Amino acid sequence: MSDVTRLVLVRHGEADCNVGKRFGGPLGCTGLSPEGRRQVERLRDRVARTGELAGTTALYASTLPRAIETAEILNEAIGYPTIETDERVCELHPGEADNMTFVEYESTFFAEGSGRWRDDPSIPTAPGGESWTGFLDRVEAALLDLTLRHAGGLVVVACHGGVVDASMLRFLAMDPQYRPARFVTENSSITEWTRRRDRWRLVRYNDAGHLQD
Amino acid sequence: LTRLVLVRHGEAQSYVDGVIGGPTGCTGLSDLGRRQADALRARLERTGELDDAAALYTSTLPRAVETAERILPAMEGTARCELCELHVDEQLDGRPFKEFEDDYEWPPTVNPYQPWAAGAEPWAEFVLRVGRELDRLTTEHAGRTLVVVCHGGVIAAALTTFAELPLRQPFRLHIENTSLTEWQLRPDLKGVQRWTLMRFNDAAHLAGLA
Repeated sequence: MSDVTRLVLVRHGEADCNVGKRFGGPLGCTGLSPEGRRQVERLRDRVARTGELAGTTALYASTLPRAIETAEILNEAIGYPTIETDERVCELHPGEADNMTFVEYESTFFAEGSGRWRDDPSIPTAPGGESWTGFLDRVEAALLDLTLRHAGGLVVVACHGGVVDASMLRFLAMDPQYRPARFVTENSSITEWTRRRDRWRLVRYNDAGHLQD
Repeated sequence: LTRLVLVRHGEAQSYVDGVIGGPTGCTGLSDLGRRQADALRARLERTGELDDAAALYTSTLPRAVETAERILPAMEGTARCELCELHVDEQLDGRPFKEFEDDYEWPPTVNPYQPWAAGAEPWAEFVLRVGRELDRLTTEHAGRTLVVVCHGGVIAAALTTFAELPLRQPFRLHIENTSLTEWQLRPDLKGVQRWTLMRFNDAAHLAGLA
């Protein structure tokens, strides 16, 4: 068995909730937009052409429809027998902000003072929701668990921009209280890590070459 | 919008020969390195993703200069030693790696305040040297697209500088020959200009090349 485990994070294609600028939790997520499906189809065609995900040993999606649809389309190129859903790779749980537009959110919760989460990342972003640091902890633990569970293999996870951010912040040892640099993870892009002898290696971030042509 | 596109050189002949590629040891690209650079040029011609490039810089090492000439033949590059890979002294330059594999520490991020071998630049000094140069270049070319053809170490030092990563690094970075890493200066929610990582190690043009 190889001593290297590959972890490939795929951000979902553009979703209806992205277009509507609303929180896409279990209520707000209604799957991919037509453009989002086209983006993932281009990823699928690229992967079929390059073979870069050949040898996949596990295929996961979050429990949100936009991630599941992304995994299904991508799997037309990978051909893995099953897609397992895992709630731990969902986007930040929005709590009562679910299905609100960003404008409604600002006027409802930010005005009330829960907007303090921007200054203190341990405060939930909305009632019943998750804090930024709680989210980072949850994602870091989940990605490590999936990687160890499939040691020596290739784990593909259809997930979210926040999950990709979390991998960068945690695996590159950045301070969660302070984010000097920012990330722009595109829909249907690939971010890849490998893990060998307890060490993460960033192989690529936001590879969306298939959207350029 | 300020765009900084960092390109790693193609495979070097010094790498194939297993020698340290300082000013003497570096003898330019290998055959594969030239094909990698040609694949990148074909990609750039197809996508137009660097059509807005306003300035081109390279290190002074032949593998970087040669890569720049191949990928952007219409542009005149400026060579800067501040963009070179970790500096080595004359004793170290050109020596086969296997001659001293027992007495050097790699990667240099393991012990950032010590030279990774006698006569080498420590990682912490290197990060300062590269960070200062990139700060100077991006200030001089603010609002434009700047292409820098350089080295894996320089691309790692840029990430360390812009994302303010620790100098002693528990992680590793994989940076392929002729890959593209792109940063942009963009305003955040409060309007403060921040470095934003657009992509790291984009080597999609190398698929199928060996």
